[in-house]
Amino acid sequence: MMSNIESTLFCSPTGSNTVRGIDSFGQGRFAAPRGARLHSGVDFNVKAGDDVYSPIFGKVVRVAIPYKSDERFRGLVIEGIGRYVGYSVKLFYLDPLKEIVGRTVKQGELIGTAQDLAIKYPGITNHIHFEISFKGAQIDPSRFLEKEELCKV
Amino acid sequence: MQSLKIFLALIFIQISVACSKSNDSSLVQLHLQSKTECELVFKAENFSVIENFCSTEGKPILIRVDNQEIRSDWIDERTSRFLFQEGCASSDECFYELSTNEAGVRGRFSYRINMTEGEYSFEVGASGQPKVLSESSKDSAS
Repeated sequence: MMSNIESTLFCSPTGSNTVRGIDSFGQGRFAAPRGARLHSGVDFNVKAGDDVYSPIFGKVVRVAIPYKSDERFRGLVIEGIGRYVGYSVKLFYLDPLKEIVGRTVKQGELIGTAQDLAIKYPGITNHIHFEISFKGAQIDPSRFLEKEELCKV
Repeated sequence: MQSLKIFLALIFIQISVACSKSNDSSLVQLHLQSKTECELVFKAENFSVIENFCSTEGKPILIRVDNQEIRSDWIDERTSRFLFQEGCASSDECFYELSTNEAGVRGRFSYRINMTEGEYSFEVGASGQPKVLSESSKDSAS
């Protein structure tokens, strides 16, 4: 059964709801300016090497690649299951756990470790980029964040 | 004599303008319309570009202009495959702009896929031989 979009809550992929503030490369909030476009997700602060968790109950469908010409960076796409049916989550800048693709993961379950963005963008606040789409339309994850303490597996 | 010179000059100018006019049709923008298991489909009225990622028989790109068809090799396979795997932020952000002439098709492809944006211009001859004329690509921080 699919729940109402307004009542479906997501966990931060970092375990903390702290959103990236302003640095010389931009701001982490949804729809923040990025040159001619707008930021399509929310960036959550994380240290390189820290654990990354699944924001939803779902199936890890594939590895995602943020950059066409820089394959050092990776991400994951998770399709929702149960009350998350219809939602698709895309996360960037993490090293996925081995053999995570194809697995069903619980909300808050470990899925990888954070990468170091400073090797490409010196001075940037290290973060995990988190996008959600519902039936193809992008939504602001920060509007539907679960409390941190309720996200531990 | 002076008026004859002016008259001849005007005729010369008219002929020059007529000759310099390109046979190119006007530019048509084809947006990403659908994606199937094997294909990306870009469409506009009377125009379509279909990129096939599964079939190993024949050329992977089919360009339809009115009733004419050109089958082409990959123009920029890496970008096409990246788009096929990762998708576009929106269909407006991945599009072809095409014009046709007697020699084939000219155009450009513009894209934003995840944190990469870029474009390339190209021409495809009537025989289906593509040539990239210019290319630019930029990675942006999230």
